[in-house]
Amino acid sequence: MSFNVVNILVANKLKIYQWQEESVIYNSESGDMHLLLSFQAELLILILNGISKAQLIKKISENYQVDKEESEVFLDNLYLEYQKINLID
Amino acid sequence: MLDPVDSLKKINKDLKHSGVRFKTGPFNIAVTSNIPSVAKHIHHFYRHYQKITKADFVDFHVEVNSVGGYRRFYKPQVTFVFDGYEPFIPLPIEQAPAMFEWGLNWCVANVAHQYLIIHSAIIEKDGRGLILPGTPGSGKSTLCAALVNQGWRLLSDEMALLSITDGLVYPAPRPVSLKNKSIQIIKQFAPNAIFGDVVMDTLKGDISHMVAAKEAIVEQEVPVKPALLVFPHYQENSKKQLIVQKKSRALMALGEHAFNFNVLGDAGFDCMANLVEQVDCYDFTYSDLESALSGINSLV
Repeated sequence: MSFNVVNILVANKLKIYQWQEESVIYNSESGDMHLLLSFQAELLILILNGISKAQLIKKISENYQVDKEESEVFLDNLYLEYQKINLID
Repeated sequence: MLDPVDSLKKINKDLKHSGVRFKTGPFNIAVTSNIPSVAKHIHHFYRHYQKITKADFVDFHVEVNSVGGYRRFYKPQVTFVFDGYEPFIPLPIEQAPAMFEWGLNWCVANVAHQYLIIHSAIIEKDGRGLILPGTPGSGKSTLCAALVNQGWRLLSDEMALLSITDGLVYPAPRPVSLKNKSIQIIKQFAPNAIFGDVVMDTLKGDISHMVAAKEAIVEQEVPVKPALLVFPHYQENSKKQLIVQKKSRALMALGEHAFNFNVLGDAGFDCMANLVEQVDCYDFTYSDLESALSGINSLV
């Protein structure tokens, strides 16, 4: 199997199938499916696992080769987007 | 099989009294009807199906009857009843055979949750299952009808029954439903194919059914391992394009075509993900039958 399955049962009932570039998330509470870039799905898993904001910013900065300020803006937008589609509270 | 020597007269009589009982794939069906065109339809399309006895468990008890009262004389109508429930509003009586078929589809889609049910045609060649999910107008039934006339085995033109336990697709072969221009296209493509009457002006347009090949009925209990998932898109005057689809995109698209994915929840999602992982996925745009068939046949 080339995919990786991640079950997240904390806060949300999410199941994630990760392929190399993209991931599909199923929210069993809403019944919705979401298509995300795999890196963004990875960030979602970290967020739901309670990793600190500083560590998330560092990860974004390293992945996209951008400075801290830009990474923070990216993360804030990501939070808003995930809240909008009920992936995080 | 329903006794081939059974005359239309006998089927008509049975339908009015004890009912006609037959098996299609995993489903046992008992139907009663007081409408002669339904008797004709069952005689024409189902007389080769395996007969079941009164002692056998029946999955779907259905009634296709004319509406009583003054309606019998003024714009007569037909109703479809499943276990005492009427899922549809009555339709003009000329549409009774089509309503019987739509009603059976409704029964399967709403009850058979031991399967992930995908709105798709499913056919097989050399042990490889080809799933063709599609919205109305995508051409899935037309492609299916043409391919079964080229030697592919029909499992269903309407629903793929994907087992959530073993990942195999189970057949439930029934007549292939064709609409509008597709009727003439397939009649020209396969002059030996056997059709029923054309039912005009239904909600879906003009409808005609094509008889399922006897081989499909004989092998109606033989499941198939899915190998190909092709999303067809008929687009007038378009150039043929067969594009490999990412597994993630195929999973999202499959979610749009699975009738009962939300009923099954996690198990349905797992089932779909495992399916896309084990098959080759394609997005297929075409404008004419000949190029469509060459595209599909290039995959096997």
